[in-house]
Amino acid sequence: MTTFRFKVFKQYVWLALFVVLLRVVFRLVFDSFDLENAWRAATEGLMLALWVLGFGVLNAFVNFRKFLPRSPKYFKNFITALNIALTLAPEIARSVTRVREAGKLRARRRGFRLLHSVVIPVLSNAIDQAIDLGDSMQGRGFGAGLKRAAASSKIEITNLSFGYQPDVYVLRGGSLSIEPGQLVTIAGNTGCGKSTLLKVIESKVPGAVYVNQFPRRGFLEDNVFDELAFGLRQKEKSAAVIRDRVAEAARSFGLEKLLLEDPQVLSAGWQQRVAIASGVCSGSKVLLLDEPLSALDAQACEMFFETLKELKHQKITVVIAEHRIEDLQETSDVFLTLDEGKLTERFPERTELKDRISLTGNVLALLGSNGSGKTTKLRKLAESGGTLVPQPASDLLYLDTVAEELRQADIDANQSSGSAATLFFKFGPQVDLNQNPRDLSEGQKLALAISIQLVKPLTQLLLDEPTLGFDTPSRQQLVDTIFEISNSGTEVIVATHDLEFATAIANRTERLQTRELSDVS
Amino acid sequence: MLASRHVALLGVLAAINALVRLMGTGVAGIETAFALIVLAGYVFGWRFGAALGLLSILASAMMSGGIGPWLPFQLSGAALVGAGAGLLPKTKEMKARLVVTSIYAVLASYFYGIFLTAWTWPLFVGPGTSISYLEGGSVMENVSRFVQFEIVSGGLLWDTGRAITTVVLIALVGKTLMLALERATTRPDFSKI
Repeated sequence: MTTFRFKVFKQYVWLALFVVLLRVVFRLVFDSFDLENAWRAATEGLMLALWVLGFGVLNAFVNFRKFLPRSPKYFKNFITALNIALTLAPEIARSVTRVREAGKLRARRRGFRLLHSVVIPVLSNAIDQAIDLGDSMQGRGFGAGLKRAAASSKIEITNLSFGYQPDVYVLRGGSLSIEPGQLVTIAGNTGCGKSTLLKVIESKVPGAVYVNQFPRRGFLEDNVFDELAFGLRQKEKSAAVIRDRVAEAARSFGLEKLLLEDPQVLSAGWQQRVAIASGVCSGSKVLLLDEPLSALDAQACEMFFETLKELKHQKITVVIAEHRIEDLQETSDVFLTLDEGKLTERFPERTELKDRISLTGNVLALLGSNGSGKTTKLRKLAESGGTLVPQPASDLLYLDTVAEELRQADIDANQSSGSAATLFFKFGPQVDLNQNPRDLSEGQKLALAISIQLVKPLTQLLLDEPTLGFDTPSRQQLVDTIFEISNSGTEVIVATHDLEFATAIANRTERLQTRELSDVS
Repeated sequence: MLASRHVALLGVLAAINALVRLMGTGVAGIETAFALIVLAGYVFGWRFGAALGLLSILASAMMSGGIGPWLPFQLSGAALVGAGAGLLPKTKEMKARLVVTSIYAVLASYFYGIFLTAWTWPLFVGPGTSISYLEGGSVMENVSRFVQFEIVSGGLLWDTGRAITTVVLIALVGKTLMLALERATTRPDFSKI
């Protein structure tokens, strides 16, 4: 199926006319000014113009991307990078729009500050994404070629110690041993090092695949089939083997109908499935899932538990880091708690969220599945003057250190110095203020974004998924904060999947209906 | 840094540059993609810079339908610009870095422009005018004719625009951009423990 891209061709028509005109003008000005001369230049130029038009037709008809080899033998790194560029460009274009809106949310900016608050988050997001993507490719066998050690399903790590800075340890020794096919859940407070632990396991266990709470950041193909096939192609399997193995994985994870879809536009639940299936398809025996439930609605959570059953059936070792441990109580074989850098085998004591529902205030919880328009609704309200903490919260952050972010927030809001910092520390993060905000854990980034937005004078507060990555103490702090804010007369609107949280704060709820009842957004 | 992260980073930065180039066409002399090629080349070395130059041009050409005989010239020009940035003297002092990359960016802007016009020169003018290539003419004679063509065709103006945009961008966001790029290398590599 070929389409003629008229827009592309039109550019070439203009270029061709321009070339002819240029030759005539140059001839008349720099040779001699007579009609015959002009005519000769025009005919000469015409040959050139036809040539240009020829390339116009070629470009309008041919999609050169189709000729990129799927499993290149030569220039593999280069072709893979080109493929990534072509796949991610539309996604990055979308992130520019999103970040520009977020920049406006934080404070009115003009000129340089606006440039700064767009360029930096877009670039930093892109770099973070590149790191996640690179690790995801590595997990699926990129770069190691055929020499890679056979994928192991047993996890055996003796000296678990790690720190980001010398002498500041996140993990303080101890060992970890997980039998093949087990499902292990790791709990622990915000920023205690759960993600770090998973990353350490990823690096120590050959073929282990890490999937974070935003699985789409590990995607590099424009259709699900190629995404699933990526790992097999790295192992230089034949086309027939690839077709069979992908079909098998698609069957076991229910992805048959989605093979031609663009993974970037699927709903969060399906994106997670694609990421997991892609790991399994590439032969991985260990899956590391970082907060797999946090971004999912109720329906997608059901889907996730089905996925876990399938993984158990295939005897794949699964390690999950999650705050919502109650949901995993039945399915998990082992519970580990990470506390002050040490792992202990126990189920963390359950702390319930205490309800603080304001009687005088106005707190509305927006519920509804992914893609039902909660975010859109909040963004519309933000345009008419509400203060929004968006998702991802990191879109708001653009300075080099946490301290600078907090200081700038005080200045923007005309508050005394230290106001934002006081709020930030209430949420409990123990962080080095000289750190780059983007190196914080997801929960810490959220706490920072909330603090920045809440020091401002508020008339209406809008929160998009404000508990993503938060442990129970942090959630409780947010409940208390919302209680105080709503008592002072500010309207609060929260979009969330976290039902326990919604019931703890809201005196009104509204459920948005999905426009279409299909699973694919 | 791991090889796979390098590849992913190349892809992502090339995507940004391709987008920037697509948005920038039609605006006189504003070639914003140059700043990132120069800075990334400076931070990650000449091989990365060259690859980023190549990939940026190639990706934007494939996205916009710009495949043609001009491509090899654009590709080699951008690759040389990126590679050159990687060979600049290294220093930790941020101000010195900004000065070095800015000076280089000006030179590179003119180099790139002249490199490309040298190719279009005979095509756009045709033989026999007073600004055409003179067969058998002395080197000085032809250089002078070329410079005249550069001026009247607006090429020099365009290159100046490119140089100014790039330097302004480096001055405004160069520091933060370089720190952001360096984060990619300092982000922990867990395989080294």
